[in-house]
Amino acid sequence: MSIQEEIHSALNDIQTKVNEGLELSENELEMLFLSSLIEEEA
Amino acid sequence: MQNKFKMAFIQLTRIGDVIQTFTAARQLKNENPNVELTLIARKKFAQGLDFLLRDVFDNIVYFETKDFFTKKSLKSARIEVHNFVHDLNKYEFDIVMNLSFNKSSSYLASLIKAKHKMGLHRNNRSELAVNDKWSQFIYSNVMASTLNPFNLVDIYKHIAGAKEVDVTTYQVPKDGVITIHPFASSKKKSWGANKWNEVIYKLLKDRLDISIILVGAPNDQEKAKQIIESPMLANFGDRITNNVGENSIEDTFHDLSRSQLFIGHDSMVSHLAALFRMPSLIISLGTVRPHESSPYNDRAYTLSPRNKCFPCTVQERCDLLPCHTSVNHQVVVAAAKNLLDKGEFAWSDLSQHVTPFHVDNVSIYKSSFDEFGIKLTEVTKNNVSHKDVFRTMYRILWSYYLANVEVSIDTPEFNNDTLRILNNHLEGTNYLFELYGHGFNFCNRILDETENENPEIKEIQAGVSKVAEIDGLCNVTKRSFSQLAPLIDFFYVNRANAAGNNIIEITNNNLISFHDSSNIVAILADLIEKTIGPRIGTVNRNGPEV
Repeated sequence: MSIQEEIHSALNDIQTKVNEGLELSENELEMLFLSSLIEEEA
Repeated sequence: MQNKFKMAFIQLTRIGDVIQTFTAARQLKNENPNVELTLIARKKFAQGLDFLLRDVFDNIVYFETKDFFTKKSLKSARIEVHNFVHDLNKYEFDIVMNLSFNKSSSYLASLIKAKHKMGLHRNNRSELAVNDKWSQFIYSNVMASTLNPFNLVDIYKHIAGAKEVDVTTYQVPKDGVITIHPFASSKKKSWGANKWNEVIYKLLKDRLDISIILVGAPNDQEKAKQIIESPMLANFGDRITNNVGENSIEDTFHDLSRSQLFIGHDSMVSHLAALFRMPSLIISLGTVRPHESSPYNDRAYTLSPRNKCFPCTVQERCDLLPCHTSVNHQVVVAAAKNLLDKGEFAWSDLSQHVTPFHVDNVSIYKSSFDEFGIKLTEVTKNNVSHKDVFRTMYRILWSYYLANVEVSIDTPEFNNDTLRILNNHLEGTNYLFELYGHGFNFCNRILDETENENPEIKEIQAGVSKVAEIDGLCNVTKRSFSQLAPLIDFFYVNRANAAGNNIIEITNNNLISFHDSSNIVAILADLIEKTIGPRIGTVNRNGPEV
């Protein structure tokens, strides 16, 4: 799996939790920080 | 010994924003020498300013996205990010202030542990939160409106808690050198090479006592070549130094330190020049909002077009760039000569060298400090637009409401079109006043119900629905009375971020918000009435009393 695919998959899982209004772990917030940095670089 | 109060500034956007953050933090440090300041910034935007930043910040954390991917795997990148956040949390900040208002900074602000958080951040459900009023102002007014009356430095300063006007200066240089930065971050914001050729040619031809330094980044070298190699400038090569793409930011800072005048667009170099408070001419074009981002410099003059489409947005496509032709090179040259001779100018000085035709489509603003901070006042004899009048009123309102500062501003001169628009908006203030009054009453009803021995959930839900309806109706009012948008948007964001852990606490804070919004809209109505009062006989007045 490429890094992009891994990121996509990780974000899908987090998005499901966000949609359900569930609390995110610190690890998940870190992943969102990382993906937003990548998004802004693009 | 008492521990130092520790504050973190997050600034992840461009170099100009980092300089503005530096200026605000410097003032905070002047007023509170014992505070420990940490800057968290991107390497590519801030490291070149390290020589300046170290003057103010006790700690600086630079990072870059690619640093997290040295091992080219997501797993290791996540470990790197985790370690990065872990190291930041070792500082044990009392306050974290996010001044960059983008997505990545909002997540970073949520990850850093601190007793207080200012600016955009997220809760642990990833929902956006903007708790303090100044940050709510940025979110609702700076990012969405052209009527923001405040310079970003002043806003940053107030978020950080600094009170005084910052007039710190490094030195006052004066030796016949003009530093010109004829570039900006986008085509919309900068003149083409031809206009700059005209300015440089006229200045060098008419003033034998001056020389010019061109400064810019490596990606500006092609345009610099077009300027320098123009046949017009063939005889002036020995009086032009081309440092474009050759020098570091620190070298450019040094170039400015031996200059008498700076001329350029609204860009990073103009903010560097402001640190010397040197006479500056700023040509603001395209997407630039002069009142918001002009350099924090009371010796700066800003020239901006009066086109209806100005300022535009980054998303709008524009091939003809009409605002670029509105600012005439003759005006720039005349203003520059006055600044070289006297360090300042008034319309009477300028009018001897340019015709009214030259300034018909341009606003020339002089920067100066008032009780709140830097402000821009038009020096041209054009009638101010309705937007300028509203911006002035908002400066009075927001200064008082957000900072408890009373600013005194003369009533500007305006034409009958502006008079009609002002008069029309009086009606809008009346609608808003009523709506906010209803909101206040609905909140009271909810609170009354919660105080009953057996509160009816249906009654409470009905009240909550009514409050939501008020927001919908405010939006309708905004569509009809567009100049009221800053006020409507601010209080919408304010209520959306009402603090509280239950319906009673949130409703109490909404009640306060509706109370404040009623008062502010009443003051705005009063200001409009006082402004148009002396001239009201010249138009039909339809608006009901507020």
